[in-house]
Amino acid sequence: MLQFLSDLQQFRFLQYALLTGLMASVACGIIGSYVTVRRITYIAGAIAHCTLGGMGIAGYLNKEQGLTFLSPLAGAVCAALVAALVISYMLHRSTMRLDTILSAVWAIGMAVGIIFISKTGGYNKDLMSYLFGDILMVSDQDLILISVLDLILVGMVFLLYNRLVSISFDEEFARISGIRVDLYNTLFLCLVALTVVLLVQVVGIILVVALLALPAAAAGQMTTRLPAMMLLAIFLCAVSTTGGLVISYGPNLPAGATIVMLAGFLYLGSIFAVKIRRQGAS
Amino acid sequence: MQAPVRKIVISLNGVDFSYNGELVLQDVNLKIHEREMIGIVGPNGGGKTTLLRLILGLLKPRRGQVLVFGQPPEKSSHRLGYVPQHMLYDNRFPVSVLDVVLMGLTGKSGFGPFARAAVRKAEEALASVNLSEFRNSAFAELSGGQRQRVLIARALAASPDMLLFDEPTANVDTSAGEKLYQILGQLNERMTILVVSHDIGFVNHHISSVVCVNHQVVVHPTSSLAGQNIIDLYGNDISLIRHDHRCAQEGHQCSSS
Repeated sequence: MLQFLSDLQQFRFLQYALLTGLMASVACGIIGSYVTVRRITYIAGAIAHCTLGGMGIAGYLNKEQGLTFLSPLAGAVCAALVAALVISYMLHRSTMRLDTILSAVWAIGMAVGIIFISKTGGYNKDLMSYLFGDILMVSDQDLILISVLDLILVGMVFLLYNRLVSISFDEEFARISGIRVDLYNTLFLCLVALTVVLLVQVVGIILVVALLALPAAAAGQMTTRLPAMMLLAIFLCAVSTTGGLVISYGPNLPAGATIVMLAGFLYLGSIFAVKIRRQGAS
Repeated sequence: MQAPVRKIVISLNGVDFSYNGELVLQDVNLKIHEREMIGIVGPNGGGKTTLLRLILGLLKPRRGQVLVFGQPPEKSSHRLGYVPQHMLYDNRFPVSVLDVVLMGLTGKSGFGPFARAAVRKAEEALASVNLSEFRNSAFAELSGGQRQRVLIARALAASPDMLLFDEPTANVDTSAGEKLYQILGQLNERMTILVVSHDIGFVNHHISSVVCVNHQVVVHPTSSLAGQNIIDLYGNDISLIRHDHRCAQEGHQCSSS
């Protein structure tokens, strides 16, 4: 802990990691709450896995074709948005089952990523850092992109909050009351995609779903209105990312996994807290 | 019973609807007048909800024409208030009672937070179903009957000219059901009301005529009840549907029979 604090003043990568975690928490709490109450965690999972394709292609073009402006993060943003649009289009326009669509997006995205990563020279530790996250490797450029994404997300949710709540609560009624449900659902999946990209930076592709779902689920146990749930989820997510960073730093544990473990403990803690409070009340 | 000059607010002319190749509704002709209270009854799978969804513009007829306030349904849906069946949404959804009522105004509001006028309108709608004191309660903590009233308030918030109900009393006890119908009776003084009901024998006494839907549509009158055993069973706030008696398309003409 002391080691972490003294190094935090010294090392820029640690400051960036902390900032990334905190900024991702804002998006995570807000969008995670929507995702949880709408029960679409697995759509987020499919989008997350699909980002590997984008990161693989961007990494390949960057290193092999000399397109140095293309960072893996930018590739992830593109892949996530494409995945969101594909899922949304298939949901509204085809009669295919949702889980078939999700499995296809999930697996094809990963396959594309693996192929391009294998054809990219240099160290092949990229794959591991994509899958399990590498919050200590965030660059200046990444940090700027992350703050822009965060601003877009917060701004969009501020504007669309009422519509998204109405659609989440009762889609059919929303449609009848004149809300363009398909349009906002598509837009919402794009917001989920951007959030997923932020979280991939923090905990990696495989653990994204946990960070999206656990703080929101814990917050949902203790609140009765969506705005309160979002604020508490942001707080719990920030506790998880910061706490995970601090705990993992000394013994050199993988940061992403430690963050998710902490989020898991907070979720279990919330279940017990609610149970004890109920017993106390009765 | 009513003046003959009442406007026709819903008309269906020769409407067919099929779902996955199966004919659900066949040659439906129906006219509903302003400020009627109509019960839509029929067996499960007979097409009650389909009829409601055609009127709401959520489904398109395969043949024939649906007109609501003289226009295609999608053009007049903003004048309709819809109260869905109470099983279809997540009961644990984290919203307050006022949040739910405000959803009735979302489609007409701009982006960003609600204006104060919208909140005031939602509060008025909540007052009209006698639930003002539950304004800030969690929706999930209300009883079934109270929730149903909140959903009525949500439909009322946008000041509709017609209310459509899908099985309003399916999940509430008899006394809460009668309370709901009292509210509907008051609302009926200023708007047309359509109520889908699961019971094909009896309907609430507020309902003036009944549309029976079983692939085809027949309009029946209602008449008051005498049998004590039936009153014991259902309470005394109901009317008998006279399936033996057939009305014209304008069902109200014989509703006093």
